[in-house]
Amino acid sequence: MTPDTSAYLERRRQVLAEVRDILITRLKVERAPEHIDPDAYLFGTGLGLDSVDAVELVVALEQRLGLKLPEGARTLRSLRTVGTVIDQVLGVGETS
Amino acid sequence: MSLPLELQTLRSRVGLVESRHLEVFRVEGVRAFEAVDAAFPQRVFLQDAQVTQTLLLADDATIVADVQVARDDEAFFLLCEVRPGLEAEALVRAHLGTDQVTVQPLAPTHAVWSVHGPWAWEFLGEAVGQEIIGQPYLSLQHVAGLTCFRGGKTGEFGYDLLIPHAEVEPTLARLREAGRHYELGPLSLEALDRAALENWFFSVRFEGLWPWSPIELQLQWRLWHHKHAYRGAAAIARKQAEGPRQRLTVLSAEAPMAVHAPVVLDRERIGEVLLSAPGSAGRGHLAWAMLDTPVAVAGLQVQVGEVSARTVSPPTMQNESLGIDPNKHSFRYGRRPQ
Repeated sequence: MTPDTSAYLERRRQVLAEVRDILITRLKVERAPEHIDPDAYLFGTGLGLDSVDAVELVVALEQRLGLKLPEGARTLRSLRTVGTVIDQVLGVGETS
Repeated sequence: MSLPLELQTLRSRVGLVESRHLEVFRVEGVRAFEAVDAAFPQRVFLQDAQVTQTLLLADDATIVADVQVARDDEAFFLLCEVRPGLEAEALVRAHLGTDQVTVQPLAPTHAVWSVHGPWAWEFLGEAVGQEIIGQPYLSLQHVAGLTCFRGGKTGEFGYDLLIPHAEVEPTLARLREAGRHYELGPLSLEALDRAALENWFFSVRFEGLWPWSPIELQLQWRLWHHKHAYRGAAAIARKQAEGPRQRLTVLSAEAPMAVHAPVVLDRERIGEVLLSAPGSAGRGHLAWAMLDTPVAVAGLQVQVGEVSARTVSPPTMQNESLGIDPNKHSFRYGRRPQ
């Protein structure tokens, strides 16, 4: 594995840990971190969050990671799963 | 109708299908809750009319059925899609494991017709009853002599209508009449399964055939970890303690990726393609691969045989339903989202 790949995987692992922690501590998702799958749906089906939770998730992520997500990243269209949230933070999203 | 045309119908208008693959049972009796609670790995402490999505597992935690559990007063509906080759009623009875409840298969008395698409809510509001427009996701309601379950596994609005046999023809006549205003088209099970795949929903006819558990398939949200008595619970607990060695991951590429092709990252083999399909709306190609857990993440450039691919976060498409507000938009009156 190249150093670039290792660094990316470590960064992604860190953001996943932050997202899981926010889901559990702020949004009261009653699951252990490792029981929240990296590609679990956040809203409706899946973890069952709502649009108010989406706002809180974005605010908490920005506070913890010291970044500002682009406006387009704040919509339910961009925050569909744990993985798409991480994509927004890391700027690697891909949807059609 | 061809699969691409059916998918176009489902993704942009409204499609209708008789859901013979969906077998419905009604569980009644003073111990109905206890029986259902013991059978399923998900929480089934539901409010009246609430629906939850869960699974039935074998002892080794592989998936034998994809089930929606719906509470109807003190009884439960079970909407089951079982792994091909298995018999639903025997499976349900074995998992409920008690003679203190009645399990009534509804196929002899009812049919299930399903409506899917971004405008399904408006179409059914006109054809069946305005109450359907406001029906919450994952709920049921009794309306116009039938039972309407709102759920769906396509990423679009989806409804399953449980219709008494005597009411099927009049109901279909109403649906077809209203359907003239919505470009209603037929759907096949193949189209539903493809749409489920595109939208990262589990299909018992694809992932259900693989020898993996909900842990590797990223379906832990369909389990409730404080339950330990359902069939397969011991295997789930063991797998969770160990952590998954592999995880289902989606790949995107410009060219088709062959089933069973190795997935290579930085010259190391990290997994294998299990399933391959054209991308949504005919753009690119997708593959579902089981990858080693540390590298089962989006954003990696990988090689699949001769094809350059990228791991991506599912779902890989934006559903039209996400942009629709029933308070503002209408297919019939031409008020589409911008």
